[in-house]
Amino acid sequence: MEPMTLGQFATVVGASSRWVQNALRALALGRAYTAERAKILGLTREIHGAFGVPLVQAHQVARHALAVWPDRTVWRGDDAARVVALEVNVERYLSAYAVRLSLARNRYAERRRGRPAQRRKRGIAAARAYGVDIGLLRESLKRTPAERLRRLDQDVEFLGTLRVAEP
Amino acid sequence: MITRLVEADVEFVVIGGLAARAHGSVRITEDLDICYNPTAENVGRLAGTLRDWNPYLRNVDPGLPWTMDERAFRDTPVMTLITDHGAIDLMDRVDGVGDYAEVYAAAIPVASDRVTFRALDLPGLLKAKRATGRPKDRDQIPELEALMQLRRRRAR
Repeated sequence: MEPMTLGQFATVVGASSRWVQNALRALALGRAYTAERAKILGLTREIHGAFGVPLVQAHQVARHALAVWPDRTVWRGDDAARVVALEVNVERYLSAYAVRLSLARNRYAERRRGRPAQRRKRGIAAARAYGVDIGLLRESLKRTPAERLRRLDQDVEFLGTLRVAEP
Repeated sequence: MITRLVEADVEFVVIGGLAARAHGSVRITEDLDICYNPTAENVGRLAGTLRDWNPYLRNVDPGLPWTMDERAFRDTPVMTLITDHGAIDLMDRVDGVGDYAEVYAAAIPVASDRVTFRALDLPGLLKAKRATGRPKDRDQIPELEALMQLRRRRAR
């Protein structure tokens, strides 16, 4: 898998890029944006946010908690006097983490900086200049939506046969 | 996939490439993007239908645990999945358009060979493509704008 950008990493953690940068600095961690680090930092953030545990301690707890999986699905830590306990549903956390990881890898888009470039042309002329075949669009518009979707099925099937034929 | 979702009474709107294709785009898309109604009953129907297709998170190592239940939809409403029938992206709102109610209002019925479903209309698709900022979405904007103009001409 390709290394993540800060934005992707923040998506996996479930936080803003600013929070991630501050947390990495507070924890004296470098700028390696890996999935494994995002997994620990995401749980650190949950523990820190839910219980007000200082970030450094929350990070230690997160590491301990994640280490029990897959042998156990829940981690429980008691204080020295066994008066207060903290319980982490590791499996539930990992499930949400996996969804965010998938999102970061499939749908994440880097934010564009500055104003988007203004296009002077719009519509057919702009599309033609961009390389769109307007003739194909005109032909497509002569068909019903059902016919267009049927064609899509045929195209996808054809693509599938091409993939099978590839060495 | 659309047929099964409709048959299961799942409330959803088709967005993305397949909706564009229904409106006249000539691009090939292999995945289905839907915006679903996030009510508990509908999420239950959606999750129940998806479970039959052996879904898992796309581009994620298979070793991670993943529970697809109502709570998962509440905690992480946007999911990118791969199933026995292909890739499907689920979301409860669409950037540039709004939440499910707004997406539904901006959708029109589309009749396929088997079922009728709702698909985001061309202006809605354009708003969504402009809002996401992903290169593959930006690439489609000129084609959608041309389709809008061609449709206006045909309507005259």
